Amino acid sequence: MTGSKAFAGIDSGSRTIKVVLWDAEAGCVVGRAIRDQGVEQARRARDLFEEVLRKQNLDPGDIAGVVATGYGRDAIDFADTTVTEITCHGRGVRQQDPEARTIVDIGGQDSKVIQIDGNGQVRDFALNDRCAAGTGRFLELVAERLEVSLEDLADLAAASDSPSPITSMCAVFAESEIIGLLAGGARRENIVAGVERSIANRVGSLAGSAICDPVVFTGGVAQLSGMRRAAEEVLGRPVRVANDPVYTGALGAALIAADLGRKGAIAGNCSILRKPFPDRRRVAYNGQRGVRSRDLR
Amino acid sequence: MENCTGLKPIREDVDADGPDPLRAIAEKYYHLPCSVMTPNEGRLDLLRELASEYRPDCVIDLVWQACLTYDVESRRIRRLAEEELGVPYLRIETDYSPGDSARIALRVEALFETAAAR
Repeated sequence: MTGSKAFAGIDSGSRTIKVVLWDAEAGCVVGRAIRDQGVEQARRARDLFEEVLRKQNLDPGDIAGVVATGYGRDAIDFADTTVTEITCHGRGVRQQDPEARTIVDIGGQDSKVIQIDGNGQVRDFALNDRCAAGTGRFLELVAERLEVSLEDLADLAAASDSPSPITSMCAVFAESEIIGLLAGGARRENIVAGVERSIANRVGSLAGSAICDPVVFTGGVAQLSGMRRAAEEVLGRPVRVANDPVYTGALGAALIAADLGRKGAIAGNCSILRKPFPDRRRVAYNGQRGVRSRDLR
Repeated sequence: MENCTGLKPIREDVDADGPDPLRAIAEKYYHLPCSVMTPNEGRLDLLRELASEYRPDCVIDLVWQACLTYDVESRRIRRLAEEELGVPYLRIETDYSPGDSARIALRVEALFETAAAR
């Protein structure tokens, strides 16, 4: 590729890191990858980014801009700027489903309900980030407890005849509840369906009554088919799952990088290999002075 | 700014020339637009005043945990911010422990991005 029209979005989430490369000229995703989050977040993100570049036969010099998002965004030293995952999800969904007005994002360790306007701009948002209930981490705990893989959870829930009631508001207590259910002979299928419903309930109470249609479901948890069904039951309205929902945040970040590139706000000097820790210029998105979350503490 | 330790308590002076200083102090306290008072229209008026003075791009409603009356009023503050002032509104409920500072920072950063987009 020539002409430096590829932009990268890096979503350094609580459980996984996602990288998406967006070709602004062709208007399509040209590369992406996902990897588990770890202790050395910056290095992991860099390794994954380089891996995606290699696979696409690209040089860092071909990347015109990098935007980092997610919990670990401030650690991504080779990004031109950072944008919160809330704004990135709005941008990513606008690209995929311009009609969407509500985004339900369930990730590894938090869940969000984001209201967006017709331009993909965030109008309002609500976050559940105080506990693991209502997040992907809860599903991981359950899968472990039931000795199944995360992928199999979806199939299990589909075979449920009557979801077990899970009433605990805390993932740790809910796990005890599940142990009790297992001891009482409850079927795994029903437990999984009950857990999915309890997660959907958490998101439902987060959303409150201010939900505008259409609703789009993003984040890693949206990949489980049973979760969409559970969310539809709780919210009482159809829910669409975004394409490759686990990448929505990273896609939004890449699109914002392209938006900034078009405005000439980032120069396109991705210096990842030239300098080990390049100084990050703070770039304004939406005319905002770059604010890093650590500046706000 | 409009909270118990911000501008709210210093907008009105105690009447130092009155005959009864205790009464003057009591009267000043009585006029505070604190959410324990009802009806508490003074708080909305003060917010309108501050808004025209400082022309904010967004409103952050800080509710200390266990301040139930502020919590109850947050609905009215949201309506004032969004419908009357036309700026984005964020409600943060917290205490003095630093455990949720990263999560608050995320909310504030997202609010700034939203405000800047308008």
